[in-house]
Amino acid sequence: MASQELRTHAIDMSSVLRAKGNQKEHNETCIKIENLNLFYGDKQALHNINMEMPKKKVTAYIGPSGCGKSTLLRCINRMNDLVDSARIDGKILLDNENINDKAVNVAALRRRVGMVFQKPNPFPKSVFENVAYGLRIQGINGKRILEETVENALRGAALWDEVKDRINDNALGLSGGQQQRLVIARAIAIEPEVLLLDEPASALDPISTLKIEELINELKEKYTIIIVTHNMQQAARVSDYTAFMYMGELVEMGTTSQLFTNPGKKQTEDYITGRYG
Amino acid sequence: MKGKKLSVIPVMSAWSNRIGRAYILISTLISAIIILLIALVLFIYSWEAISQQRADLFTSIWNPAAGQFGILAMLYGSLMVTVIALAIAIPLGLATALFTSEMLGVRYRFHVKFLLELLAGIPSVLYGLIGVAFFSVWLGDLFDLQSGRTILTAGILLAIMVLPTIITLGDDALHNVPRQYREAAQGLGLYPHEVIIHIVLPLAKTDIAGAVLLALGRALGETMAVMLVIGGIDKIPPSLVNIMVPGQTITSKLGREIEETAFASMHFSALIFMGLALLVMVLALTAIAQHYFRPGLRLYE
Repeated sequence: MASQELRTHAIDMSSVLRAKGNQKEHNETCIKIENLNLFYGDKQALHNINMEMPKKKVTAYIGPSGCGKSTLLRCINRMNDLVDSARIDGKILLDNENINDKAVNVAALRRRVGMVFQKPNPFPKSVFENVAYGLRIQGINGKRILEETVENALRGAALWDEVKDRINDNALGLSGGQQQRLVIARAIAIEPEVLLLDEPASALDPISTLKIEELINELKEKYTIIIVTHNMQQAARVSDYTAFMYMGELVEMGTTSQLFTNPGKKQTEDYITGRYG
Repeated sequence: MKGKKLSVIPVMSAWSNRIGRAYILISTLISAIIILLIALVLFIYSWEAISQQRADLFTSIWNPAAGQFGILAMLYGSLMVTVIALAIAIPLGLATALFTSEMLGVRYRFHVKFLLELLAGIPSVLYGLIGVAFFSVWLGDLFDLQSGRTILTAGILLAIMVLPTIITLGDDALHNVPRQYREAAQGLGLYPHEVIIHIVLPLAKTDIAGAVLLALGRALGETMAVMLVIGGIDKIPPSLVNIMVPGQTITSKLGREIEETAFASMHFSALIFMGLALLVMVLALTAIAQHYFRPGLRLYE
């Protein structure tokens, strides 16, 4: 019964996908992952991942829980460094520079590769200070430049109109959806090149989710976006490319319309038609 | 079960509910009454000193034989050893807490915390013994003093005694800062020291203050170890900052003299008044702490 339900979803998606049309296949690579393996202690969580993410496109990682999609995402700005037992080998090239290199300044990398987490995590400060935060840390303190950047970032995150009258209120008073857009504003205020979104809408209601999805569509004009999502329709709606992962392996990657309408592998087809996962 | 009237509560449940409620209420009342009784008894028995000595209580000469009961020297001693102890223990303890919480791996953190908690459980008389047998002698030799039993000695010993409290509670405070804030900050490209200074410490501030206050309370109230190493002279040094002289704290004075006094004498009453002063200080600190460092101000989810 469940599979039947999901099957109808799969059909729904095709209309979304048709609207996307056929994309041009000529893209500059932003991030290239080569032979990436990741271990937590003795357990291998990622198996020999190879993939390329094009510049200023949205790439979605889909797959069942525990398949390694979040882990892979967190490799791209080295968030896994925080996990004591994690060990990584292989290369991740950001504009042809290997970010796993020992010499890489991780803080500088994370300024180029911003991240938004599953649960909105604004700091317990005002709306303004949340967005200005990254700039202040970089030593930018000019009042006018801060105000300008904060407004632009909030506009960029489609939040300005909702919060402009309470810019000095505590950010924890905003709704969950507003908080998540605030966190996106905070991330884009420091002008990263890449935005990593780790299930950004999974804790939100449908309307907030819709707003975040619209936002992703606008943001891709300026940023390369990689999004992890549980929700296949969401992947179909927002992404240009989709990667399907299963048990720590990359099963298949392609343009979103191709992967959803004409998957190359049986496993992918089973997953998107809801036979498991 | 079907068709039972909802308004009827079975007799047994109603009774056990009542008994449970009464038990809890009575327990709470007993705790509250004990505190009130302590304050009341201290006040009643110090009334003789308060009513007859009045302002003379706040002079610096304590001479029971001549009927002089000035507690300033003891007040000074108590405050001074506490200040010294905290001045040493806070920076040292917080640095160590930062190390155990932010730098040490999870596995080692538990071992270290276990050891620290053991340290906190050592009876204070043992600290006092080591202090009087070795530490005060070293200190006396080091600074070429007549006696190594000084206010400074007591302060340092107290610092060692309250250090485990500050470290282990400080470590908890830092460790309890939700991971989401650290991740957010790291995701913005903050360096580890920036994450600690700008995110972790401000968020842990309330709990760290709690740790410090607990240490403060212990330092103010500690009797045995202080009594053994402070020298026991009821004098305020001519120079207030000269801490390498023997002194006396409220607690060491009480510990030494309460046995020698006749119940309900003026001497006894004056000692009880000192106890009351200590209680008031500790209560005031607690009240200040609860006012300024309310857990409600914590903005965790």
